[in-house]
Order: sequence, then C-alpha cells, then structure tokens
Amino acid sequence: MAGIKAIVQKIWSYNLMRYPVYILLVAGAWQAVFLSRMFPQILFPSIGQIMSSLLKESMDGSMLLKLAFSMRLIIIGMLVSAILTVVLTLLAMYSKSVKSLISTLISVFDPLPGIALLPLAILWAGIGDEAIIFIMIHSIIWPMLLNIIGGFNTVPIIYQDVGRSIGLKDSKLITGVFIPASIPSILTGFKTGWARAWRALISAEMVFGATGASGGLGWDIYMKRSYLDMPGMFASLIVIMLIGIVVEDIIFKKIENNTVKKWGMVM
Amino acid sequence: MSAFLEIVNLTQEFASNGQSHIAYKDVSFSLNKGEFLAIIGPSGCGKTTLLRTIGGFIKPTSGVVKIDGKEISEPGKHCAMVFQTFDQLFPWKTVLGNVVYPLLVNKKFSSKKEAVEHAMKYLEMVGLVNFKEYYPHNLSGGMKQRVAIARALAMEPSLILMDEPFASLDADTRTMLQGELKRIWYDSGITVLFVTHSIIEAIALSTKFLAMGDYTNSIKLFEDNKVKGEPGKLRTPESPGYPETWGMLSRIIRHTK
Repeated sequence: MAGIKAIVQKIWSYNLMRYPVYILLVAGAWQAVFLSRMFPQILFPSIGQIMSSLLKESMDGSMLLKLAFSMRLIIIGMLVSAILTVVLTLLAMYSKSVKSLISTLISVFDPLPGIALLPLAILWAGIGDEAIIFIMIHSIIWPMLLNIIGGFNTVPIIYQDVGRSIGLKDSKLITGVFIPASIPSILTGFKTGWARAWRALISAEMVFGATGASGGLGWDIYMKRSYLDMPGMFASLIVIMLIGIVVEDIIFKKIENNTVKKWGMVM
Repeated sequence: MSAFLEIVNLTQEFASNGQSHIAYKDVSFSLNKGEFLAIIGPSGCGKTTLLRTIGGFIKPTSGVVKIDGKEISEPGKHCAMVFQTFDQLFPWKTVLGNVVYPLLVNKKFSSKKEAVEHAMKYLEMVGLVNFKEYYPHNLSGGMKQRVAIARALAMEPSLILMDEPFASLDADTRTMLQGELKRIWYDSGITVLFVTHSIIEAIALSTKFLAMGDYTNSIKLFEDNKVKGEPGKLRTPESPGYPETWGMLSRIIRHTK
C-alpha cells in the first residue's frame, strides 16, 4: 500500500502528469453545466461537440494552416525584435547618451498597449502582415530592451575584472562576459516579449487577420463568431491555450533548466 | 641585472565629492623572480589598490610599474589575479571550463585538446580532478578558491597577484589552502604578490614583507621574512624567530592606525 502511495506521489510531482487530471476535472464540470441546460445549448456546446470540431479541423489541416499563419507572424516579430534589441543594446553599451535616450523611450512606450497603436499601424502600413508585425515589434521590443540593458548594467564587477585579467577586451569582453552573465535577464526579456507578442498577435488578427484567403487563430475565432460556430471557437481557444503551455511551460522551462538553473544563476 | 618587478614612485589619488584623497604616495620597491611578497597593512591603507595597479586594472596617478622591464598599462597575460570573493568563477562554465577558457582566449595552445590536458594538470595540482564537470555553485567556498588558483596558475603567468584569497574561508580550510599554495609556489618558482591583513598568514607564506601605512603614507617596511622554516612548508609559531617578527609587524600595523 505504502509503495503505491509513493508511486502516486512521485507521478503527481511531475507537472505534466497533473495536467490530464486537472483537464478531466474541468471537462467534467463543463459537461455537467452543459447537461444542466443552465445556458442555451447553442451558446454552450458540449465537450463532445468541441472535441469533434477540434478533431475535424486538425484532420483536414485547416487548424494547422491557421496555426502556421500565426506562428509565421510571431516568429518574424520575435526575430526582427531580437535583432533590433541587439543593435540598440550595443549602441547603448558604447554611448551614454544613446543609453539615456533608449531608457526614456522605454519608459514612454512600454506602458502603451500595442493594440492602441493599431489604427496608426493600419494607416501607416495598410491592412496586412506589416501592420500586425509592427504592433508585435512594439509589444516585444520595450520589455526585451528593458531586461537586456538592465542585465548588462548589473553584470557583477568581479566577472568584468576576471574577464579583463584573463585578457578579454572590447567585443570579446561583451561576448565572453556580458552576454553569458546576462542570460537570466535575456531569458526573462524573451519570455515577456513572447507573452506580449502572442497577446498582441491574437488581438490584432481579430481586427484584420484575413489578407487574401487565409488568416491566423485570432481571425479564425472572430470569423467563427459570425457563423455562431461555438464548438469551433472553443476548439481554436484550446489551441491558443495549448501553444501558451507548450512555449511557456515546456520550451522556456527546458531552456532555463539547461542554462540558468543548471548554473545556479537563478533559484 | 635589473629586478623582475619594478615599482617606481607610484602615487594614487582618488577624487571623491570634489576632494582628492591620497591612497599612497611615492611607493617604490623592486622584487626578484620567485619571491613571495606579503603585502600587509590595516584596512583602507591601499593594499588592494596597489595590487590592482600592478595588475593594470587601475591607472596610477603617477609613477610606473614594470615587469621584466616592460611598463604595464592594462590587465593581461603578464599576470594572473586571484580575488577574495568566491564569485570569481564564471557560473556558466564548469570547473574545467573555467580553467580552460583563459587558455583558449590567449591562444596558448593550437588545439582545444591540448588546452584541456594542460588545464587538467592544474586541476590535479589543486586536487579537483573529480569535480571537473561540476558547476561552481555546487562547490564549497574553499573548492572555488582552489579552482581560481588553478585557473591563474594554468595561464602560467610570470606573476600571480592574490587579493586576500583565503580571507572568507574557515580556519581549517584556510590553513590547508595556505599549505597547498606554498607547496605549489615552491615547486613552480612563480612570483607571488599576496595581500593579507593577517600577520600569521604573511609570516607563514612569504619570503618578504611589504607593510603599508595609513593615508598619504608610503611604505612602512620592506624587508625579508627572517623567520626560519622548512622549504615549501608553512612557518608556524614554533618556527625560530617567529615571536620577534610577529611583534615587529603587529607594532607597525597597530602604530599606523
């Protein structure tokens, strides 16, 4: 008996093992509400309807297409923002006035929600990928800069001294000491940037995702509303949540476990 | 023959709140190869500043530091430094990685394999071969300082500068590492400058003392360690001449306070 209890506890200690249990509990409660007819069934679909919609869209490839559309945009947004951040961080390293200019820009623009810039983006960039990417870069770049410049500023003097004493100078000191010592902040910057970009993307797509025949997940939910396709809406929401879990709880966690956690740089 | 390390009229001033503050003035001394110089003095007397200036980290207000006749203006491979803090290892590198990295930076070897083999010799010297794959945060303070010493020695510098490397360790570990350092110094013939505020440590390790006074003062004392001891071993309070030297040093250090 004690052996079984220990095994159950061990399995329970893995986060991934808990998910199915929680999901089953939520699904059960959902189904109970559906069966109770507390809400009109056309607005509150059953688990079965949602699952079959999810299954159908997954099988015919349309979900994958929408997912690919959104992921393509977010990857472009992340890449462009990362490059801009690197360039601006380097400029801030070499010049104090650039650094204070960037800090001012961060304090002005960071609190500004990306979606508030959407009308402006439409006028400047038109209705298309460019406007969404513009909004995403705005959402990503300020928290990313804030974290990375902050990380560079707080590299312990002792690492800089050791770096210089073993003969590192200028750009070699940056790649050999400043960047690795800032990895915890760089990761936080990417995590915050990703989270903001994902939210900005879905919101922006709702307003105008469809360029030509295809659109992303945000656009998809919006369109399904027009057709009162409730199971389809929930299917897309589940996919959006799954992406969040995969990126934040699996990919970023894995990167952290293999770097900053392994090195004892964060608890 | 000119000396290995020459310090000529070294003066260091700092400006703070518009006032200039003198750490030390007109410090001059020279040292031969293979010496173990203990730099002692009360807190705030400029010991660490002097060491960092010799290392090229700080530009002197005036005066010159010469090693093998060449003037030093920036940190580099002429000397290696061991600091007091346990955090001087790069946490993102393993024990072996920390020792190998400076060798790769300075292109001391044509291949990484040779650099690793060289680093392993020094890890063996400090007894940490079994910990080579560990990351620094999994080591004790004493082990971290041993890695830092191995890293400095592996660079095979002509001069090694140590800034109270054992000050944060417990007494037993400190004595053990002092013994290891003395043996390694004796076997390798390297020149060491060792800052400490412990008279006991200075007598146990060094061949020469440099005592510094308080602000605006120059050197209080620069002379050989006359306490007798076995080659490569630590001097102890039982060593002949110990009480006299201890008394002399403590009088100088107390007097300057």
